[in-house]
Amino acid sequence: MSDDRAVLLQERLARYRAHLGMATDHGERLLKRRETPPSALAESDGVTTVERRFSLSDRHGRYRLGQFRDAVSAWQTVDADHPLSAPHLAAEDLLFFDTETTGLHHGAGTLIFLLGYARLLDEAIVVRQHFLASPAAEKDLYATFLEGARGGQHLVTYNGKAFDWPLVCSRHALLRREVPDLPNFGHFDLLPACRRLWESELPSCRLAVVEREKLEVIRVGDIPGSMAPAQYFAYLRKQDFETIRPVLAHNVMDVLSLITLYTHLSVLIAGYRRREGITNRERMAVSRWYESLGQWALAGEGYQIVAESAGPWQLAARVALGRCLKRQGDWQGSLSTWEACLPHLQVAPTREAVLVEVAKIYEHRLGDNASAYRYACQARDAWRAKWRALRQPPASPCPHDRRLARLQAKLGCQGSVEQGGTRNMAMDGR
Amino acid sequence: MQVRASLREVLQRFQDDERFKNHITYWKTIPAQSARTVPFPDDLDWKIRNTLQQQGISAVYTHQAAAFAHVRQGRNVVTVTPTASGKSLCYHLPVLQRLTEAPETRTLYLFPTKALAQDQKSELQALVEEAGLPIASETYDGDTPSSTRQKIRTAGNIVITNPDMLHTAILPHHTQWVSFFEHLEYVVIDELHTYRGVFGSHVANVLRRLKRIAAYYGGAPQFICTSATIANPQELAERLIEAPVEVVDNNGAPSATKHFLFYNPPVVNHRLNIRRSALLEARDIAQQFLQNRIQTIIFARSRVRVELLLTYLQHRQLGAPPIRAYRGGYLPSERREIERGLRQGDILGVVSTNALELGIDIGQLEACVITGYPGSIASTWQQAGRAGRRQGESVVVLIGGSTPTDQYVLQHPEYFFGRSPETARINPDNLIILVDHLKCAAYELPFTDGERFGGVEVGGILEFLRDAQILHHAQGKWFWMSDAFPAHEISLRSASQENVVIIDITHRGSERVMGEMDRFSALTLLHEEAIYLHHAEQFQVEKLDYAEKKAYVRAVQVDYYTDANLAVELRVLSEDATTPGERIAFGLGEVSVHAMATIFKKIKLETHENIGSGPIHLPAEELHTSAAWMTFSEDLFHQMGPADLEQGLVGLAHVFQHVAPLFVLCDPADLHVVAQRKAVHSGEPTIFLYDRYPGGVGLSEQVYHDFERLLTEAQSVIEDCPCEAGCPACTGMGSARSKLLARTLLNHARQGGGERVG
Repeated sequence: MSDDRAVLLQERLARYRAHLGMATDHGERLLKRRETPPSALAESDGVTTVERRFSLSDRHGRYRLGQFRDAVSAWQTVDADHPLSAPHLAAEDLLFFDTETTGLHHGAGTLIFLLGYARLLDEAIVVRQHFLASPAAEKDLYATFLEGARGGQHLVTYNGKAFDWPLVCSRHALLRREVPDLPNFGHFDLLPACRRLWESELPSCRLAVVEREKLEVIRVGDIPGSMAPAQYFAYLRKQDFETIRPVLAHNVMDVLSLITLYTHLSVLIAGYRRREGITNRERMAVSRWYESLGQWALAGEGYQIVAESAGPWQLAARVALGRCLKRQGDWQGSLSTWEACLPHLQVAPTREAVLVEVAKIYEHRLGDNASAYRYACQARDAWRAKWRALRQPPASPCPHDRRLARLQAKLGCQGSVEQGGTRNMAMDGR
Repeated sequence: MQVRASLREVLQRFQDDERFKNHITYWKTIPAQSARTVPFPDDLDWKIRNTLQQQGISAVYTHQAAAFAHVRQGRNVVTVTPTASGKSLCYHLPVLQRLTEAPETRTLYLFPTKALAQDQKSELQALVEEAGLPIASETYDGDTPSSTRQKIRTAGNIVITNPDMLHTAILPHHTQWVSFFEHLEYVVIDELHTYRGVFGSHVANVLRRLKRIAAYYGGAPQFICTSATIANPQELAERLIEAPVEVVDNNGAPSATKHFLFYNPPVVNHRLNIRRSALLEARDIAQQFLQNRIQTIIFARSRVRVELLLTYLQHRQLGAPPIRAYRGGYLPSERREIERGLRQGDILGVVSTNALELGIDIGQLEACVITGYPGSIASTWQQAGRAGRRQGESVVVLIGGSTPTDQYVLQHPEYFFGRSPETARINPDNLIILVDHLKCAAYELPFTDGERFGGVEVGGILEFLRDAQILHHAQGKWFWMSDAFPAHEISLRSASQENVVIIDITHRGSERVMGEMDRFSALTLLHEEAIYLHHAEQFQVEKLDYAEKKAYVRAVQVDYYTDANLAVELRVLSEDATTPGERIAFGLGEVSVHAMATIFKKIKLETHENIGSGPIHLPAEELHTSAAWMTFSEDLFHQMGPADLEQGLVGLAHVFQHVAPLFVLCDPADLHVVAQRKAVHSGEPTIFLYDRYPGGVGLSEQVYHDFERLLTEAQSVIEDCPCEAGCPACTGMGSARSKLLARTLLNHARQGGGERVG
């Protein structure tokens, strides 16, 4: 392209800025800069690797870094098949891993410019960071990462299953012919755990919030992670390493916090029976998690502790405990737990559910149809109360009618005691 | 109780009844054509053969065989045949055949809309299932659940999608499609003719990106295209895919007898040469069909007219089954319901914009009424194709409007029947479109120094993007260096990036979004107090929040509609080419256009009289684009006087506005005409014709090269028009002498053209 035409093109492009969705303010200043940026020399290194060591006795937030070894071994004390459990893993196998990227989209144009990870090496915590000093050196970035992370088995990340690791895979797909395959890492993503434990009490589960509220981590002079892309772009323009230093420091804090967070979560989840250092709210959350995994005994133990203490969680814990006992086949245990809490249960949906459960045990396990009938009637009353409270006609026929009818039949002539629930309901429901 | 008449009887009535017969200016009976077939290709797999035979197909049409042969020999191909000629087999056959030989092969099917993709998926899946082939074919669009997406990416043999999805979802995420791109052998592009103008220019760039990514993964897919009849299928296909393409047009499909009627409404005002409204005529003619339960489609040229016609027809109370409207701005679910109703015969008639021109399956209708010339020959044939798609006699009635375009076509049937349909034009190198897609391409894969983008040298643009801090240049490569996702900011369909959302606030507590509209149209259709029509219901715009892009409307019942004026200011930014001349000179270059809505008029329904007006307070929209202009010599000022000169220019501009699109072959809305008594750049009397899309899509270049012919045609329109002093069909009614003055200008110009340079 001749010089004249090149200038003409730049002029037309400048004119079209508004149509191209670009702001026009710094356009003129930028258009003058036609020389090659002073980048070429500094970029030859491509990838910068930074390494720092921390003593195991260094404190980061509420734990010493070395305590994460206790956390790993804590999992050996509970016989739990839990997503964060690491029975076969040694502390040395874990890679506390975090990336910094040029954006939050998953597309092919989002670049990872910093891969950072902490691990236990030679009785110290070693944080290694591979920094992409030139985007042209991506191949070297992944080559050095794969080399440096060798020996690691299992990633520990914050939202890494949805964001960081798919992005690593996406970048790797572009380079797959030039660098070795990615290892088949195991992966603990701590974000879902934080959601389970604290979603109801924290304003959000961003790492910064969890650090502040739960980990006692205080960051000084830290730049927010959202600034990272802009810092990197500025670094590329200025080629001044000081521009990117704060991002590296931020990333170090992130991976150290992952250690503290994993330690804390392990203490809470594996050590949920301890009296100290865990709230009943947290114990409930942990127990619910065990319950959702089908670990009835472990869940029941947690609920039992809460059920025996006074406080707002007591009743919920007793209801849940009854559920776990039933799941383990302890009919009498669950029946007595539930019958004991029924007088205190006011909230209609829970009360209704418990009443149905109790009726089922009487009918199917104990063969006591009269008691079953009594509880089934109460369940129907609770159902009616619920709709009355909503000031709406019921959306569907009463779900207890069939049980009531069956029990009536079993009880024979006593059937005249009550008519079918639906009809009465229709009268009540006005 | 009246006895229902058959289509033949209705046609007979048209020939006998005074009400109609005098106004039918042309009656062409297109004879039935029998099928031309050849045996199945030798290399066609027996499973596919059996399946076709089970469907009663024992041979293929000549065009299907030709397309098959080309594809098998590794050539790109475009098949050009009319609606319902079995075009889809032209690509299904070679693609399925290849899959029987190499099951790992991947194919991309591109349809212009989601609805067409859905249609084709059902057809294809039925074929695959019957053949018992282990082929996974699935649509990939905004409605695809994420669980299915993963499977399609890794294992879909045939991925059916649209250009928008390719643009925003597939290409930018190509790293998730590695195995797809590694095995991509064919790209099927159906309805190729729809990829013209702005949309086509965008799609050409999307295809550049597709080919670039395929090349990165080691592939070079072959393209199999089909198109409705246009003048330049080969040129269009070759511009779109930037590779040689073979044309297949030996149509072997049969067709039934079709009657094509030109109907010119009677002149009601001889002095002004005003004809009866085409809308009212369409109502009366459609009624003849509908009351005899003849399923009919009625095309109208704008959304407003669609809604008006629907209202008129519903007033006639033809009884169930109902008549519905169909146009852009309706929600997809509403549209699906109407399409289904038409196929199943639950809906007797539909009034539609050109939205139903495309191959959306609505079954075969017997009658088609086209209200006003649709603006292009290709488009008219597409609409006419809606009647009698394969067998059974059918009728098409084209009703002329009062515009010069319509009158020209109605009075020159040979223009329509004799001429090849229009050229579909695209300009993939439109600077704005090119830069937009270059951003997307750079996002997808870094550019290398010296790399071309679909043949275009892009070093200068890459530098521009680097200076704008979007790209970073290092070691001979250009890296995307921004946290933005460029494809999300670029729409393939419209010039303005954001649409105005229309919100119905009639019922408090149940406000709902009822449609959307581009910003430029919103200036004149959604200003405050405008009457907006939706499903023949009237809504008044109560508030237009232009900053937030929201229009709040409330249902009303009034007996008028609104019509807004747009004031346009135009400035020349650069002159790229000029043809000097003594009396008239031509120019081509870039202009900036300021458009501002000024006032609106309230016009009474049915009588169309003006019953009030009001101001519009909206900010101006600015447009940078390309334009062609003709400049008259300055001495006309003295010869004619400023007032007469102005009226002459306005009159001539009126003629150009209608005639230019006929010869440049574009939608009248894409080319605007503005007259200036004293153009800002030269101080001379000038008429500008500019591209409606920022940067232009090549229309003004065409005008510039065709100016002489345009002048000749304008002159013949004015001379042939039977009116006395100017009418809506020629120079408009700006003044009592506009015809005379325009003629003076033309005579002046015709006495001396110029040599073309530049």
